[in-house]
Amino acid sequence: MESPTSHVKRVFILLLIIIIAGVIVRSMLIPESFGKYGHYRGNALQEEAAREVTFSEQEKCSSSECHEMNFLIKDKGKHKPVVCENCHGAFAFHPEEKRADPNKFTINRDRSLCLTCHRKEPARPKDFPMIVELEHYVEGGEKPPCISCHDPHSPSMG
Amino acid sequence: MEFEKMNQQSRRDFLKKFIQGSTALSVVLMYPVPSFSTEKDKKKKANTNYVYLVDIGKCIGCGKCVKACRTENNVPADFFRTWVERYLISFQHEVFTDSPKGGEEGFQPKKIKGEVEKGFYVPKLCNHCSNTPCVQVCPVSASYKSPENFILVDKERCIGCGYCVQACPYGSRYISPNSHTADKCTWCYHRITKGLQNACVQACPREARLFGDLNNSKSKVSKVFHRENLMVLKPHLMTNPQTYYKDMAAEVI
Repeated sequence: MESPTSHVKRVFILLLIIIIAGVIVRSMLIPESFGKYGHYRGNALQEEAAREVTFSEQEKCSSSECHEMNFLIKDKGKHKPVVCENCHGAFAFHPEEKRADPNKFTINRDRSLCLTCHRKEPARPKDFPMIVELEHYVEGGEKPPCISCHDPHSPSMG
Repeated sequence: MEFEKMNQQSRRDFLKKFIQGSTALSVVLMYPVPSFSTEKDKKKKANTNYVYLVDIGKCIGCGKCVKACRTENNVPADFFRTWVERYLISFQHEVFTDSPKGGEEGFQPKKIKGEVEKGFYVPKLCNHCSNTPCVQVCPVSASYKSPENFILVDKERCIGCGYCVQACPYGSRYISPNSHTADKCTWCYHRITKGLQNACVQACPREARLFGDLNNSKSKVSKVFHRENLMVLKPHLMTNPQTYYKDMAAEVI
């Protein structure tokens, strides 16, 4: 005859098996760095911080012998708050030649680059210098590029 | 014979033993799982208070910020981590709003019904809420808050269910068609940790976007940040955003 408490023992043994199996599966499924800084995979933070940057900063252009002149001109003019990479493109890899491709160093010399900011728009703040494209030095259907009169690094005239 | 002995045990005794046993067990089960952080990691609990400040009165809608973000973060085409919206309000108080390609190529002139009484551009991005719904709903803890209070996405763990995209009330998140995981503005965490500026903040020629640590008295943000004059988007949802807007009109949603 079975012991009168055998059914209780069976349940507890079963519970023990489930707990042990659960702990084993949990240790296999949960990634290593989980819980390091919070309820997430801790290594994700380092992975995010280690991503490559594409834009550099103005200080890199200004402190170089090649571009110092243009930077000083810009620094004294109305375009001082416009960073070099805004118009010239993202240049974190310059001049280390990591991705040396002369086609990457192009600049748009067309009116369209200037008009993106300076076209007259009702939603733009009133104190911002704006022009109406068709009224600004358009002669006989000819639309000369802005840089034919304005130095892009220090654009104000006179 | 043994059965009779057991049945003599009164019901009261049994209940007593049962309650004592289960109380002891539940006390044992309440013992917290020890945390895995070491001393070095505990120091990472930063005492920084990063905020993002958008000055609507200064924005000219040039879209350079959107372009810079796309270049810096390889944002897939047709998706945006940040975007600019244009609001034009007529004298009859009809509101027209648009965001063509997120404002990346600037805005073309628009004729609206009636004269424009006031208009402005509103740059928007992930608000990095303190009480964020997107971290709350993530089923695999792929969406998380970093020790510096940046809300980030763990691409390795994300399963692309899209629950967080639904949960965000500001529309800041999207499922990237390249990685099939959730993606969003990270406040350029990879640049901030290297001492650089966020791509959008650097690109803005009007200082309409500012980012910095309020606890750092040298930062530009701490100098211009006056909490009384600033608003957040959708405050009634109590997400406690860390992106503040200056000169925000009532029409901005």
